Amino acid sequence: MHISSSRFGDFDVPDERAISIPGGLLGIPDSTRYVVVEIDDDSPYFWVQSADQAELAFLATTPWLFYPDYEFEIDDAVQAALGVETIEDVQVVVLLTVHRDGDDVTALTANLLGPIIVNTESRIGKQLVLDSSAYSTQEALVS
Amino acid sequence: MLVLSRRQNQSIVIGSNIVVRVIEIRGDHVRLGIEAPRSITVHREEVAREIAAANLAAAANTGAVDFGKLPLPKPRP
Repeated sequence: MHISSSRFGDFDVPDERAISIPGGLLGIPDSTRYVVVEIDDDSPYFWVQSADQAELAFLATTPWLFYPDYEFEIDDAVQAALGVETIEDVQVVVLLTVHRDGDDVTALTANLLGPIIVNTESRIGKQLVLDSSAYSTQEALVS
Repeated sequence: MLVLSRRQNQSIVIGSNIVVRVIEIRGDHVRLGIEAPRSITVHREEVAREIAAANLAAAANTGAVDFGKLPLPKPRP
């Protein structure tokens, strides 16, 4: 798959590395294909680049690196839709908002209310809506 | 849009297997009971809207990021 991106230029990734999110993310329905762009092996961060919109790239992380107690339930409908049965079938990604003052990054917040889960085999993903959870879309990211 | 009036303990049926019942009305607060197959997802609208807003805010990050200045996770045993 050929990717055009504002942030990384043009590059190719094997089709099987693409993540398909049918219907897109909430508020961004027109972008349904994404690829993960690693920063380096040691970084807790990575990018989620849209394959459909060059300018669309999210900074992201694996939530348990920063929030070891983070938990939520994947309901039956989502399990069935994604074909996941055990936690081993699932990769969980949370998107980060970069807060800036001019060019300076002043804070990072994580959207723990809307995690994205991906079936690691089929590479099909979905953004969950954790209705009655105590988490917010703007949880401060601190070390 | 269909607009219906319901009293406490009355219900509406959506399709063949979704029932929404008005359990309690107190002032401007309405408690609803929703019976639906587990394959149907039900969300508070404002929660989905809030997540959409967060996605758009996260998508607005188009500047350079200096990873050396970002927080790292606490080392864990």
